[in-house]
Amino acid sequence: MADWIKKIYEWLIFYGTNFNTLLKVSATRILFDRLSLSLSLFMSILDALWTLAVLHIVYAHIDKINNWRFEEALMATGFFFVFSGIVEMIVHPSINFLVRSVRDDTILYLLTKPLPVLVYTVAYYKMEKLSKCIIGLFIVILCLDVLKIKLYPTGVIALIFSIVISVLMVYSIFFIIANFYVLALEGDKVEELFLGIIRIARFPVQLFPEPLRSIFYFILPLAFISTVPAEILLNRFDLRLILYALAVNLILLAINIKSFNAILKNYINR
Amino acid sequence: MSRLIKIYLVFIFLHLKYLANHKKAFIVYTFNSTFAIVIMFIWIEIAKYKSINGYTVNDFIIYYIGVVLVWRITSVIVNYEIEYLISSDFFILYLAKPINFVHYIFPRVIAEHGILFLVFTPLILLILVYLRGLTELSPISIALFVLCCVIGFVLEFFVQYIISGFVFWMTHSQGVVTVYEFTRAFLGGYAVPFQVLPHRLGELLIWLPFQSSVALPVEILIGQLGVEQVVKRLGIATFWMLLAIAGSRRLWQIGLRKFMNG
Repeated sequence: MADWIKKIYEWLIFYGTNFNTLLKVSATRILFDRLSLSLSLFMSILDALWTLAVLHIVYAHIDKINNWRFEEALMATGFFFVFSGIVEMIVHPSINFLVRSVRDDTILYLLTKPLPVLVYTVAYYKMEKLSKCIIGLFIVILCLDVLKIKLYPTGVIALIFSIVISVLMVYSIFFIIANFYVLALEGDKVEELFLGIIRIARFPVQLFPEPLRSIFYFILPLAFISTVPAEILLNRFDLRLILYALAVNLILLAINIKSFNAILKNYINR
Repeated sequence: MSRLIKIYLVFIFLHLKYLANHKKAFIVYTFNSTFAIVIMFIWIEIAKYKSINGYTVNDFIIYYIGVVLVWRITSVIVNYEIEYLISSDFFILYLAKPINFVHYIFPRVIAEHGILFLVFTPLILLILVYLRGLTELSPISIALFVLCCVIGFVLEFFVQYIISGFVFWMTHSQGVVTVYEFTRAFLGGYAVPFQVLPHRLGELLIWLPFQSSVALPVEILIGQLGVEQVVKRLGIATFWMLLAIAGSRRLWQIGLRKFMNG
């Protein structure tokens, strides 16, 4: 038993130290480019303002769309910003780095290193995108205040759970696309397409007509990015949906691992 | 001039060959204009209950299908490529060559967008005819639409070229590109048609450059503008295009000087 504890302790120290070093290196790199940092903050504010303006113009013509008021739709938009901040900060750079290292033939160098490749890719995070998360959180808190919604521990847990599920889901989808991209396609256009699809979640899916709404819940689960977190806080969510998301996530994860192994095998054997 | 045309033809031909070899990625790229459709569905959901400033469900569908076409034709992405070249050792080789660097990039974009124009335009026109969105279409309006798309495309290219030139002072220009695209989407008639905006705001926006590559070609195509409006707005678009060309020349001169002096 003591051996196991010692092994886990050593494992944590090993990963913790290496990961900490990688994060520090990335932070130094980002802080060096202060212009990009300030530009990123400006960009996030502008992005939020445009979205707010579009929602405002839309709601200037109607009070409620499928029972969603302006403040409720705005809350979903806030969650979209939190989510897309996380994706642009960690998920996208990590996948980008992986694809680039395969194309530049530097992945072999990474494979010889003591940590798994994915740990190195995550270390290429973009700290400046944190500004988007902060603005998203600010919008959510503002809406909570306007709508006079009180937070309960169960709601907060369900919320965190749903955000984690949605980030993992998008990570898996990104990863699978990246794998196919490396295997079959060339060019920088695929990720543009995928980022374009994610932008749909900027507005709650309730603003769309059927059957699009159902598609965004069950087939292309974009609702979990912004609508479901907002529904949780508005106490309108269905637990079965969260369980469904969890199941989808597990399937995606399995495909993810399979496809990554296939790509590595293909890469080494070529 | 004839030498430059020959060079352009060679570059266009080479890039067409490149696209033929990378057709899968290019096909994926051609369908990357989903967001306009998303906004369209939101407007449809509202217009189901009442028309908005005279816009019915059918009007929104026709407008946004036009937007998909025009956005695809006029949107240019060159910053990744230019950024990569400037940060690599190859850039100095381009500078040593006898033609301006812009003539290496522009023909490639012409080749890509030429194909997009040829593939997308008949398809979208057929859809619009089916939806009865082209009742006002005449040979003159088609010629004006093509002219407007060309002006919008050239303007967009040189704006992107200016933004890519910022790389001489900063490490990445992607942030500026994104800010510009947001602004263009909102102020150019992509997110909201000008007629749906408050009247004064719509009147103000026609003086900005963003309308040249989105709202103006679409409104000409679906016959929303009178002759006087078309002439006025085409004049504004041409002015912004010339300004962008002159601005890009000046900025790149300063940037290259900085690059050469380290």
